[in-house]
Amino acid sequence: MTEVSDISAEVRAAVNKQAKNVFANRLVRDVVVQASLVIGLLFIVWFCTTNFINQGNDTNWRFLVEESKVQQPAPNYLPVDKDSSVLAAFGQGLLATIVVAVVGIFLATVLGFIVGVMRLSSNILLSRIAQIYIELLRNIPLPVQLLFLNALLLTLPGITTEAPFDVFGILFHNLSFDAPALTFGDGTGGGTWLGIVPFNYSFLPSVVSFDGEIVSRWLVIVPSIIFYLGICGFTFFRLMPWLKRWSEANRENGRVKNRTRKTVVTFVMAVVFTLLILLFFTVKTTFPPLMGWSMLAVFFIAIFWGNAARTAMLNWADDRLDATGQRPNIDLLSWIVFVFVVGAIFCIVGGPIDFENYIFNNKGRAVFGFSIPVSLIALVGALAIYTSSFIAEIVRAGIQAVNKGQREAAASLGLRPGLVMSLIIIPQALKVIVPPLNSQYMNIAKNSSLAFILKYPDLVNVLNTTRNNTGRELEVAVMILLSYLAISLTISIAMNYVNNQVQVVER
Amino acid sequence: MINSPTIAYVRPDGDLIAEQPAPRSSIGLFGWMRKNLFDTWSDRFTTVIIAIVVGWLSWSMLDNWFLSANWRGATQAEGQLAEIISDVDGQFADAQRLYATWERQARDLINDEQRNLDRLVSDIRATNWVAQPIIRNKFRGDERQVPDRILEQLAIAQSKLPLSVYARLEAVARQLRDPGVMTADDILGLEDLTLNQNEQTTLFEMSRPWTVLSEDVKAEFQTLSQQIADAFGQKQVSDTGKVFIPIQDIWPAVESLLTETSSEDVLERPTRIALQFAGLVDSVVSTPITTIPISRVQKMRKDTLTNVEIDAIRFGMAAEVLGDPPIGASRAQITAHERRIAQAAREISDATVFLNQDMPEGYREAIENQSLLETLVTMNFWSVAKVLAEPEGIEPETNLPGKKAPMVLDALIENFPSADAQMFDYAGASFAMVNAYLSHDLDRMQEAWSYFEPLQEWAAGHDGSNWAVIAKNWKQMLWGGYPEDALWRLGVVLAGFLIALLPLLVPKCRHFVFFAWSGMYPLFLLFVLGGLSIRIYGWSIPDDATNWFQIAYSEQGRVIQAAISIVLLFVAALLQRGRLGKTAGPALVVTQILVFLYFVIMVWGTIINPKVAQSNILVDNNFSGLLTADHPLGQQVSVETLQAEMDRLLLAAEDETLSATEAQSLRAQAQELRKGRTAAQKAERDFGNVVRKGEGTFVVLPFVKSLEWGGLLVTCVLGFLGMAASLPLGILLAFGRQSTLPIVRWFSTGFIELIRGVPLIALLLVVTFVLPKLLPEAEYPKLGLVFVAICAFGAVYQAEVVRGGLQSLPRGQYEAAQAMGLNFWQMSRLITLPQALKAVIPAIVNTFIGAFKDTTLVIVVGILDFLTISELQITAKTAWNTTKPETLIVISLVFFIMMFSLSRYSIWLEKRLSTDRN
Repeated sequence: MTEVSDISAEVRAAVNKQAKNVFANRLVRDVVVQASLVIGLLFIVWFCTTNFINQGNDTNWRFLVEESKVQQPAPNYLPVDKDSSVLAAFGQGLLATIVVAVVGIFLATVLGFIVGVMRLSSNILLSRIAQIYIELLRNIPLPVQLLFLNALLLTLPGITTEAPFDVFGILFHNLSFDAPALTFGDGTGGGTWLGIVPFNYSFLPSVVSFDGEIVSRWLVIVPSIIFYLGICGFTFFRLMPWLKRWSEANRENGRVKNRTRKTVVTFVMAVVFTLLILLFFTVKTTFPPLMGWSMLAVFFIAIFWGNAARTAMLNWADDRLDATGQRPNIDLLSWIVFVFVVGAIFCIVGGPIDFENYIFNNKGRAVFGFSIPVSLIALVGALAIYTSSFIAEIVRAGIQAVNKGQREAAASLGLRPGLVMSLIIIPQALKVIVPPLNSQYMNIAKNSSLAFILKYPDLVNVLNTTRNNTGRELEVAVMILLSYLAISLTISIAMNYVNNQVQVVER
Repeated sequence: MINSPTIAYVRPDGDLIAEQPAPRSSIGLFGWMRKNLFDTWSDRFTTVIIAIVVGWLSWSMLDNWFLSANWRGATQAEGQLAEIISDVDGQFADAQRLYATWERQARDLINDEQRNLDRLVSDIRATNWVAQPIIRNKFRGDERQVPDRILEQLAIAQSKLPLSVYARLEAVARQLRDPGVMTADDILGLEDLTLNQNEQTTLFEMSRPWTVLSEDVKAEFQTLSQQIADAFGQKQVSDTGKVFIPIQDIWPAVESLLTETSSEDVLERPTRIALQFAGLVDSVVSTPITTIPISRVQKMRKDTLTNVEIDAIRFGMAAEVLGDPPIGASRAQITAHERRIAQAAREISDATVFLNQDMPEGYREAIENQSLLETLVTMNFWSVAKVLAEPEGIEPETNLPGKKAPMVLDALIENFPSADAQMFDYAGASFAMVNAYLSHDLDRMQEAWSYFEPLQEWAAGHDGSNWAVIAKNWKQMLWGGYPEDALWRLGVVLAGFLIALLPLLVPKCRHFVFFAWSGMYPLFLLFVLGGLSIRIYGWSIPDDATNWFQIAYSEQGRVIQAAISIVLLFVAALLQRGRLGKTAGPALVVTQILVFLYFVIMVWGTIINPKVAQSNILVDNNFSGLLTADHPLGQQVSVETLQAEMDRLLLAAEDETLSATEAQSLRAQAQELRKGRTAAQKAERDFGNVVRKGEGTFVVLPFVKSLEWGGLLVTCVLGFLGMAASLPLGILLAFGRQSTLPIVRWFSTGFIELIRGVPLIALLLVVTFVLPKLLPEAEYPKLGLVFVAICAFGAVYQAEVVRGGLQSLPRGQYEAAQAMGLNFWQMSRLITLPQALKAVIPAIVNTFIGAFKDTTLVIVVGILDFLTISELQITAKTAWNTTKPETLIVISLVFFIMMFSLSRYSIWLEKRLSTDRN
C-alpha cells in the first residue's frame, strides 16, 4: 500500500509540476503560437511596407490605360496593337494564354492517350518506343525541349530568302505557318432586305483601333457583355427546362400525343435567339472585337432556323408514326432542308463567306490570311509533347488499374480489341485517370508562360513588358499572380466537374 | 479398318511424360520475334512500319550527328559551308534558267542598264571582300572587339547576291517592256508575273520602307534635300513623306553638279552628306527601279573617283550588308540598327585606310591606273595573297587579277579547313563566279561554277551537326565565367558533394559525422564557391540614421545583434537543461535554429559582406602596378585625389616639348587612373566613405561574385541546394497545413495554394523585381533572389507530397503515439514522419526531379545557368548562331542522364525500403 501511495504521490507531484508549467496548458500554447505567427506576419507586412515606401515607391494603376507598346503577332484575338491600352493588351495576353493552354491540353491529352495505349501494346517494338518516348521526354526540361523545337522550326526555309514549303496552299516557313483564312463578310449585301441595320464593319482587325477614350468605352462594353451573358444564361438555365416541360406535358402513358407544341417551342427559341443576337450585334457593331463575329451571329441564326425546320419535319414524322404505325422516311430530306434553310439565310444576307489568301509584307509577315507564328507552334507543340509523356504514364496506370477480368469478360462476349478498349476499359480507367490529369492540365496552363522565352506576348510577357515600360513592379506582380490563380482555379473547378461526371458514369 | 474394342487407354501412374519443351517456332531469337513482333497481321504491319521509320530516323541521326558532322573549327562557318554552297547553287540554277528564258531582243535592250547594275553590285561585293580580311586582321587576337555581326552579315549578303542581281534584271526587263515608273509593288501586282517566291521577296527586300529610318535621319535628309534643291534653283521637292523618298528629284541636280565640276573641293559639305545619304537610302528606301544613283555617278566618273562617291558606295554597302532591322523591332532597336550601319561604314572606311597604309608600291601603282572595280579586285586578291603568303610564300605579284584565280583557289582549298583561310576561300570562288557572270556568258559562268566543286565536295562531307560549338565552349557551359585560377574550388566542392551523398547512397554510412557533413554542406559550398573574407574596420552608425531600423542595419547594429543572438543561444541551451526545456524542448530547438540563422545572417552582413570585399578587390586590381608603396597615392585613395592626379597627368601630356611616346605613356597612366576613379566612385557610393586599399581586410578566399558563376555549376547549385532547403520547409508547411490551430493552418494552406497556383516563371519574375523593393535598399544578388523563389516553389510541392504521406498513415499510429505520452514533436520525429516519408519517397524524388528541371526556367531572369549560358551567350553570338540544336542536344543529354539516374535511384530506394518494412 505504501508503494502505491508513494507512486500516486509522485504522480500527483508530477501533475502539480506540470500544472505550474504554463506551456503545459494547451490553450496557452495554442494562443501563444498563433499570436506569435500573426505578430510575425504583421511584422513582415510592416517591414515590407516600410521599405517599399522608404525606397520612394507608391502604387498607381493609371498605367492600365496608357499605351501598352507591346508588339502583337498574328493571331490577334482582340484587335490590339502597340497603341492600345495596357488593359487591352492584358486581355489579349490572357486570351493568348488561354488559347495556348486549351490547345495544349487538347493535344497533350490526345497524344498522351495514344502513347499510353501504345505503351501497353502487345507489340514489343511499339511498347518499347512508347517507353523511350516517355522516359526521354519526361527527363528533359521543358525549356530545353521548347527551345529545341523552336530552333528546329527556325531551320525551315525563310520566306524572305527562299521558297517555303507549300502543302496544298499552306505555307511552312521560319516565321509562321500560313493558310488562307475563312472569312465572314459583313452581310451588308442583303442585310437591309431583312430590316437589319447594315453592320458598320470592315474586316481589317489588325488595322482597326479604338477612337475615343478607351476607359469610357470599356465601361459601356463590359457591363453590356455581362448583361448579354446574363440573358443567355437565364434563357438556357431557366427558360429551357420550362419550355421543355411545357412541350412535353401532353404525354400519355409515355406516349406523346402530338408534337405540335414541341415544334412551336423550337421555332420560338429560334425567334428568341435571333432577336437576342441581332439586338446584341447590331447595338455593338462599333466594338471591334465583335465586328469580326457579326457574320458568326448570322451563322448561328441560320443554324437555329435550319434546326427548327428540321425538328418540325422529324416531329411530323413521329406523329405519323404514332398515327399510322409507319414512319415516313424523311431523315435525308430533313438534312437537305436544314442545309437549304441555312444556305438560304446566307444567301439572303449576301452570302459573305470567302477565302482570304495570305499576302506577305516586306518583313515576311503575313498581313492577311490565317497565320500562326512559329513561336506559338513551338510553344504549343513543346507543351503538348512534354506533358503527353506524363499523361501517357497516367493513362497507362489507369488502364492497368482496371481489373483483368473485365478485359477477359469483354473478350469472351466477342468484342473486338478496339471495342474492348473503348467500351469497357477506358470508361473504367477514366475514374483513375481524371484526378491526376487535373494537375497536368494545370501544369500546361502554368507552363504556357514559357512563351516569355520565345518573346510571344502571353500574359506574363505582356505584363513584363509593361513593367519594363512603366516600372510598376508591385502592381504587375499582383496582376500576374491573380490572373494565374484565377486560371488555376477555373481548371480545377472544371476538372472537378468532369471528375464527378466520370465517377457517376462508373456507378 | 481395325477398331480395337478395348476401353480407353489409361496412362499408368509411373509413365508421366515430362513437360514438353516449347515448340520450335517459339524459342530462340526468331521465336521471340514471332511472338512479340509478328503475332498477328496488325502486329506485322505495325512492326514493319515502325522498323522503317526507326531505321530511317536512326540513319539520319547517325549521319547527321556523327558521319558528316563537323568536329572542329573556330566558328560555325566550316560546318555551315555546305548550306551556303547549296544555297548559292540553287540561286545559280535559278539565274541560269531566268537568263536563258529571256528574248534576245530584251537582252540587248537591257544590256547597258545591266552593266551599271552589275558594276554597282560587284563594287559593293568587292568592297566587302576587302573589308572582311582587313577587319579580321585588324582585330586578330582580340575577340571581344571583332564585329562578328558585320562579318556574318557580309557573308550572308554574298550568298544572296546572284539572286538579287537577277531579280533586279528581271524587273528591269519587265519595265522595258512596259515603260513607266514601276515599284516592286507594281511588279508584284502584275497578273502575268512569272517571278517565283524568292524573287518576290527579294523585290520586297529592295523596297524597304522609309519607316526604318529614325526621325532625326529623315529630318536631316529632308533638310539636305531642300538645301540641294534650293542650291540648284529647284524650289519644289516633291515629298511623299511616309512611303517613298523622291531621290529621282534630287539626282538630276546632283548629276548636273557632278558633270560641271571635277574637283571634290567644290562640293560643299551638305552635298557630300546628301550623296552619302543617297547611298544609304538607295538600299534602304523603296525607290523606282530605274533610279540607281550610284551607278549613274560612277558612269560619269569612271576614271576619277571622288571621295564622295566612295563614301556613298560605302554607305550603300553598309546598308546593304546589314539589311533590315529585326522583325518587330522597337524604335530603340531600329535606332541601334542605324547606329550599327554607321558603325559598319566606319569600320569599312577604317579598313580601307589601313589597307592603303600597308599596300606594297606595285599594288598602289596598279590601283592608281585602274577603275574602282579593278582596284577593289586587286586589293581583294592582294589581301588573299597576303594571307596565303604567310604559310606558303606565294609571291603577291603573281596573283594579279583575272590571271591566277584557279591557282589561288587551289591553294585556298588546300588550306581550307584552317580558320583563317575559310572566308577568303569562299570569297575567292564567289569572285570568280561573279566575274564570269559579268560577261553574260553561260559557258564561262559554268566554268566559274566548277571552281566551287572542291569546296562542294569538302562541304558535302561536313553538312551534319557542328559539334565544334561544344568543343570550343564546353568550359563556359560547365562553369560559365568562374575564374580559371579558382577552378580547384569546384573540385573541392564536388568532392564534398560526393561525401555528402554517401549517407544517401550507401546504406552503411549512417554515422553521425556523415549526416552532419551533409547538413553542413550547403554552407560549406557557399563559402568555398563564393569566397570568404573577414573585414574588421569601419563600424559606425550612419550620421543620417533617423530611426532604429537604419541603426539596426548599420554595421555596429549588426554586430550588436549578432552578439545578442549568441547570448540567446546560450540562454536557450541553459533553458533546455531546466524544467521548462523538457516541455518546450522542440520549440526551443526551433528557436535555436532561427536564432542561429539570424546570427549567420548578421555575421554575413557585417563581417563577410561580399560587396565590401569585392570593391576592395576591384580597387586593388585596378591599382596594381600603379599604386606602389612609394607612390603618393599608395596610402589612401579617394575620388578627389584620383581625379586630381588624372587631370595633372592629362595636362602634362599636353606639353608640346614631350615626345610622342612620353605623352602616350602619360595618357595611359591617366587611363589607368580613370578606371581606379570609377572603382572608387562605386566604392564610395556603396559605403559612403573613403576606401583604403586593403586595410583591415583579411581575405581567406577571394570572392567570386555570383554573377560570375554559370553553366552546369549554377544549375546544380540551384537544384541541389534548392532540394536541400525545400524538403525541410515542405515538411514544416505540411505540418502547418495539418495543424489543429486555425491560423497556422490557414497560413500554410494559403501559402501553398498561392505558390502552387502560379507558374515558376511568374514567381521568378515577381521575386526578382518585387522582392528588392520590399527589402531594405541594397543590391541583392540575383542568384540569391532566384534561389528564394525556387526554394518556395519546391517547398510547397514537397509539402503536398509530405501531407499525402502523413494522411496515408493509419489513424492508429497517431493514437498509439499519443497514448504512449509522446508530445507532438516526439511523435512526429519518432513515429509518423519516418513512416510518412518512407511511403512517399518516390514522390519526393519525382518532385525533386521536377524542381531540378524547373531550374532551367531561370532563363527568364537571365541567370546564366546551363541552358541560359548556351542559349543567350554561346549560340546567341553570330559565330555560333546556327548551332542551337547541337547545344540543346548536349544539354538534353546531360539532363537526361542526371534525371534518369535520379529516377532509377528513387526506384532503388523504394525497393530497399519496402524490403526493410517486410
